[in-house]
Amino acid sequence: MVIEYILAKTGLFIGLFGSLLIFICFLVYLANKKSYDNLVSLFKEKYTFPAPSSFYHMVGFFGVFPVSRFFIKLSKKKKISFLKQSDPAYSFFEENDLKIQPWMNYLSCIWITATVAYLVSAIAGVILTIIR
Amino acid sequence: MARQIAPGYCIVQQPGNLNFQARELFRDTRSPAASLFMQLNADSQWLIPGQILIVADPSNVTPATTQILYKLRQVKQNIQNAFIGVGAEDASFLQKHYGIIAGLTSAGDKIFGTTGDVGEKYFSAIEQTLKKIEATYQNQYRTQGTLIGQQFFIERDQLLNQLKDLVNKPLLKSLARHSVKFRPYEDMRRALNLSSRSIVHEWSTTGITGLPGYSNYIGNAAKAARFLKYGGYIGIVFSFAGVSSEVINKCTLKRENECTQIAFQKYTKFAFSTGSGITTGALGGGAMLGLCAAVGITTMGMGGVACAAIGSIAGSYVGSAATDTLINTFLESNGD
Repeated sequence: MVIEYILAKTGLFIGLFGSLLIFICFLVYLANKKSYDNLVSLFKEKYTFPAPSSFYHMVGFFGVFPVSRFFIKLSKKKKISFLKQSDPAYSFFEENDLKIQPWMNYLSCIWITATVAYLVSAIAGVILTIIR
Repeated sequence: MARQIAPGYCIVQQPGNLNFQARELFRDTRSPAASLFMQLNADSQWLIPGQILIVADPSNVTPATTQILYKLRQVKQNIQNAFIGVGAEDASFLQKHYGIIAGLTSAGDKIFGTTGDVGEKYFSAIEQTLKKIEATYQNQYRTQGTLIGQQFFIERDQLLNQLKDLVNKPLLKSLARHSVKFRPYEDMRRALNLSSRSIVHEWSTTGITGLPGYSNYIGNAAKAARFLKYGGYIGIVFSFAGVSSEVINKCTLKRENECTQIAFQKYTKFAFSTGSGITTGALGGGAMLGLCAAVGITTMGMGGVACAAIGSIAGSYVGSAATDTLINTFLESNGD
């Protein structure tokens, strides 16, 4: 059937596109690994990561997205789960005269796009299973 | 009546020299207890997290105390040796998470009641290995009086390697509940006027009485920590190597056009499931934390780390497994 064929091709293409984006994220991470490690170390000198960043900051690339999101929110002083609004960690960027590194924003956007791609692919797969 | 406070030890929380550690520990660094602390630990000028420092009451000078202090020095030296070549960051990680592995020693029966056959075999194997490690330590200590010896090191390394293989499997559930925490030695804190942020433990929990204690657990956690950090990368490399070897095997038996098709299918599956596993793994930790908070498991400190770790591993596993099914559906419908 034509619909089945289109759904399968689209699902496959979008899923692979998601994988390509994750690979790009890996390259972005590799290129900026040093500055990422420095930022994490600087934060840990005075503050403690709240969960789940307390786990993700230790697992390298596999945790770079949630930790980047954590720092992006922190730089904008947005409310972070499991970190009280009165916590002094919110002044980390001001205190050290830091700005969020642009690559963290790029990586975050690419990662979110990849997640959406996987989601769309999964939906295509479910529809395909139903109509077959 | 004079107080009788047995010696204890504190686990270094932050890297720094001995003066820094004394300031962290004592409210008054000029007190007799602080002077004795400096004297007892004079051999350690720079400390990294996870190492221990001996804390003793200067007014307790019984022969039994001298004997305990002697043994504590031995344990301190053993731990110091275990940390040779370990960087401050890795040491900090070990110090924070040694409880995960330690928890498994007492987890057996409780976990057996909640997991299936595979889980039962898995945890049973871990428990048996840990019991063997415990017996090795006890046997060595009882027969030789020390924890040094070629045969002992070989036996211990074999058992730790077995443990590493077992821990490398993604069945690390229920750990948060079973994590071991050594009871703080509150009597000593009060008697020696230690700072409220200091954590001291009673001497017997180091493991020198024959029961596995801090000095034993820290070694096991070293293996687990390395797995958590590098396991993911290694897993991907192994998976890629496995796919490549499968493609090469099939291609040597089939025609060129079939070889291209098989390579496309296999590498597509690999890319798809690896990528989705990574993204679901990054989401799983947060989702699991929500669940942990909802059922009342602490999300602070170690509880949060364990919860996120379990969620991440589970998320990654589910993501990869679901993708495998999904991709089969796509490939079948494409006629590939």
